[in-house]
Amino acid sequence: MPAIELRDVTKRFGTVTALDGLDLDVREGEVFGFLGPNGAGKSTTIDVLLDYVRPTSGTARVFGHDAQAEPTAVRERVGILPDGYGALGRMTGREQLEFTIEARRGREGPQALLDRVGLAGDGDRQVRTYSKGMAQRLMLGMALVGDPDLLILDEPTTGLDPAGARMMREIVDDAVSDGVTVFFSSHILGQVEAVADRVGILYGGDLVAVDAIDALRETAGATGGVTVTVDALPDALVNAVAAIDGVTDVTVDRDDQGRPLVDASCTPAAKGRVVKACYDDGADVRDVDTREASLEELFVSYTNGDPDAADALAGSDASERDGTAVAASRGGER
Amino acid sequence: MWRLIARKDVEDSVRERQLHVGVGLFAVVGLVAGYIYASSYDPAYADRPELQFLGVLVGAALFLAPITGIMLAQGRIVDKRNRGELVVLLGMPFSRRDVVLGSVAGRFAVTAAVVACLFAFATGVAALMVAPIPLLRVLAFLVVFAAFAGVFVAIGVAISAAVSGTTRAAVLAVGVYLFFVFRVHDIAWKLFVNGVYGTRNAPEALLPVAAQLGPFTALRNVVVGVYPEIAGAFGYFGGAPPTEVTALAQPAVGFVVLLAWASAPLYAGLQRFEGADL
Repeated sequence: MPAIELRDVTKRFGTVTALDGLDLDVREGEVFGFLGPNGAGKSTTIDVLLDYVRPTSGTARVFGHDAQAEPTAVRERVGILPDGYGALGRMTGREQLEFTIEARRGREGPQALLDRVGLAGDGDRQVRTYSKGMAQRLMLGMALVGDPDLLILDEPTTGLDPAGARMMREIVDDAVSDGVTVFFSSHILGQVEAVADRVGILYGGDLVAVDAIDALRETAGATGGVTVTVDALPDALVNAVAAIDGVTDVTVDRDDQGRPLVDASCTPAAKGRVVKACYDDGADVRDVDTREASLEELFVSYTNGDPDAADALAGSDASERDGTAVAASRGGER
Repeated sequence: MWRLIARKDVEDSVRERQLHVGVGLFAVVGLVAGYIYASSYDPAYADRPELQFLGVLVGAALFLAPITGIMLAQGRIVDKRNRGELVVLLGMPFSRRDVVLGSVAGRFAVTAAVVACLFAFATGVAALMVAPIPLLRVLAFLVVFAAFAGVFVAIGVAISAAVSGTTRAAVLAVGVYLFFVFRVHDIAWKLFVNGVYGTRNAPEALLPVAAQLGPFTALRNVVVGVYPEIAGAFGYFGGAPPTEVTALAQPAVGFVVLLAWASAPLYAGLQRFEGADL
């Protein structure tokens, strides 16, 4: 049974269409990154899952429970870090955790949770006096209460300092190793890349792509590459590099000392072969610099940067590729 | 689960010092009411002194209990909605109905405590000044007015659940209270009947109909039906007593009218809240 199942979900606010026939499946136990620019519909999707808003049409299910018909059954199994939350009255951090533990019938101790999210010394302060980052930490602690089967995190790193972002990542990793499904939205690409098994790119209220990040990169043609600094450029080198399996493009430039730079756009596996080809053709290699395609490039190519690619993907059946891609990324990244 | 919301609601009013302020204000009013009664009471002349004490209490509670109930309740849900608290609560296994019913129960407890304060301080002062006190009747009236305040708590929570802006909720709550106090429904109905039949031919039995459907008049009908001597204490709030007792002025009808005011707006507010986007 999918952890999350959205079927043809449309949500209109007056004349604005926030979600436009969205279909999405998130499997149990996976980390799903939900990526999109501001206004793409990420928070609206989460709001539909928690029944904060009612979809105009379509159905949303969480572990088989209809989100609109059985919202409390959904909330029993979901830990949520929502967007736009506020303090519970004038409760302190500890009181808020105690209330959550009672409501979710959890067995945790409030102090252990405060320690875990890095608020050990701030439990007795009123939550409304917390900074944004502290409130975010507390909300994450509240989301963990009662051992939820699914964590839904809306822009979880908003307001967090680097240490907070690392803590967030560790908690997500711990949750995943306990078999928890994680669904999180973000517009910060690096974070999605670091933790997600699969990524869905939401644009204009619809998914334009769902796949593992590596597969998305390949599909979008954004593959990273290697730049080799050599002391001289043999005539045959460019053609030799271009002929290597996995290389899509070769350019030659010069660095500030006038040395030739051979830049090959290629798959990660081809990078070594590019360097070897430089040696084999008799060039003296001075420096090697490799790069991975950023998700940013990927994102641009899927959304407004390259509308053709976005259209092509939106039309194709993304789910056909899912199975193998997930297996590959789980093996490769964890 | 609504019990947990209700308990939080009561604890919130303690944390927010709302209860302290309410208790303080009503204690002062109670002290003044008790003092006025005890100091004006003259055993040699006063006829039925207990009635005088109850009259003072009814006069004060009739004015204060409903406005307290509706004002304490009107912001309860809409404030949470605007401050993001509702998103957090509805992220836990609460339903929207739990939030609404829990708010009604919590606000009712707070309002009842405040009204009890009025009665307790008035009785305390009167007792200290050795004026006679009909204790059982005082308790009975406390129950009656706590329940009456509860009707307005239900209306206040209904408003709070139905609207999305805090200002709108506050204005609506004050408006509803004034509507009932000034019996706008009665005025409109009389204008309508007089318009249809002409001022001279308007049937006597038809004119007081709408008035009996307001909560203040309904309360008077219930209380006076059981305890006729207290009728005078209702004064303006109770409206003019019907010249000939219509079927609608019976205590049982009054009771049903009060039940309807306690439940129908709340049901409508809940329905609207259930379908709303936060």
